[in-house]
Amino acid sequence: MNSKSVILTSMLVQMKQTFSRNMFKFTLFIGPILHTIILGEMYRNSEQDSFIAYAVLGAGLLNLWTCIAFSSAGDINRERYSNTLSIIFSTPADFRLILLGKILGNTVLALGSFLLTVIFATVFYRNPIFVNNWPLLIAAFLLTVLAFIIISIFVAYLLTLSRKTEIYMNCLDIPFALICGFVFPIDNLPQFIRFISYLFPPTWAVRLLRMAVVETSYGFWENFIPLIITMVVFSILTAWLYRIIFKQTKILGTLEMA
Amino acid sequence: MIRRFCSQAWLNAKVNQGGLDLTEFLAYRVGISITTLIFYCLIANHATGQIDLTRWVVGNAFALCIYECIFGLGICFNSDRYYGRLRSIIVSPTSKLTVIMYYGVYSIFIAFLTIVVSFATGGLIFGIPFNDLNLGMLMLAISIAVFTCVGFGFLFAVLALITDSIYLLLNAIGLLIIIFSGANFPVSQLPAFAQWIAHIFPLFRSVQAANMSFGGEFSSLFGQLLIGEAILGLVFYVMSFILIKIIERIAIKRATLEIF
Repeated sequence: MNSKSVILTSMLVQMKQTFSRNMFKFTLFIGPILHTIILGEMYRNSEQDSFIAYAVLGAGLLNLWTCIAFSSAGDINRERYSNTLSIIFSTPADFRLILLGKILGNTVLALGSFLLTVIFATVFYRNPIFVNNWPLLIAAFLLTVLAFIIISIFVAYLLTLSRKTEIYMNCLDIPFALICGFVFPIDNLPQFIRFISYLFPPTWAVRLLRMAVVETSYGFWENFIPLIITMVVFSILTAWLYRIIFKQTKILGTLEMA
Repeated sequence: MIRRFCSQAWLNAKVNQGGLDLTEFLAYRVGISITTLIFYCLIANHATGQIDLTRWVVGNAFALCIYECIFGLGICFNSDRYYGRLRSIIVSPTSKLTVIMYYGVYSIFIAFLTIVVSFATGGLIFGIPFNDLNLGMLMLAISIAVFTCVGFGFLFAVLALITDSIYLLLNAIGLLIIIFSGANFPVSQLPAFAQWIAHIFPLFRSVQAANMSFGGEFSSLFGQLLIGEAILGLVFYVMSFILIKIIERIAIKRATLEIF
């Protein structure tokens, strides 16, 4: 089986399995609507720019993050409980490709939740969504998704050896949205937390995305360059992490112990 | 009887915390709560431009008890089913009300602690005027809010016996409580039918009452809100008990409680 087939098969199986889980239906359909209501009502009396940039985009990003990262990390746990984690780890097909396929499958489904957020916000709040720069929006959105995928792979590897995946997943959800400024600008955070924010690619990707929708005080390159640098750094870290985990898994032999 | 109840409640508490060391306990129980409170308060600060965030600190500290009362308690029977203990509970002569109650002891304790710690920490971070606080009123509001939320959690714990979508249900209910509690925005902003629904959700009245504990004194409105919240809680407990009696009977007759 070549790499492309492994990714594609893993992606399709993942999408079928995920869609059959009721909890993911919440993440895809109910969560986006309820998050949009919470953020929409909180930003209801603010200017239209803020409403679009933080309520609509923020709700979309929250759901995108939950779907991609939260579900991908959870999939490791599900594989462990189904006794299939050690099988997909030791199968001739590369574990990295299988995991990438899973995350891509979640990403495709997550795009639906993002779209639902935008449609619901437009219809429910009767607020026309305008875009400042369409080409930038498309490019920034693709980069945001890529940034989320890179972080998701990193987190999924990190949690491969852990027996408490569920706990750590919950610890990552809101704190990451806070640090990366999904629903308010990171300028509102204290200086020392902002330094942490700068380390994560989604922080820069989200700023680019916001630039495409509303007028902002920062420029394209001052966000694009740090985004690329942080993505490269995280990719290298992920590759290094995989080597450690691969070695540890063989030494410990406890991958399927829950 | 009381001794057995206490030992079961203690055992349940140990089961809940068994897998966590101190660092994980602090990260999972305290860290998530405080981060969530900070998250919503910062959104409020940015969205409204308000510097005084007292209302949001109070509201979100209360809303945080849903993690224990709804998510924690809501899956207790589901976990029993998963670990094969449910059949023992159903066939044992012990009153199911007692079983429900010993599950609740731990949740009441943790939910109360969550609200107090989150409120104190959030208050220090966002500089809320503690000198204006009527501590007695706040503690009363917290106690009744926890009582009602635990009752609401019981109801879903029992419902978990007849549905395979409990996680979907609990997550949706968790977000609905945040919406209807008025913790982050006034419920009056919502359509009329949604405002009516808010009255049958926990925290709607207790959050209003808790906000009155700043610079306020015991008043008839404060009393009415808390009595209303307590009655609602009582209704949840009675509904849970009736529902578990019905499900228990069905379970014994059909013997399919562990099968979906």
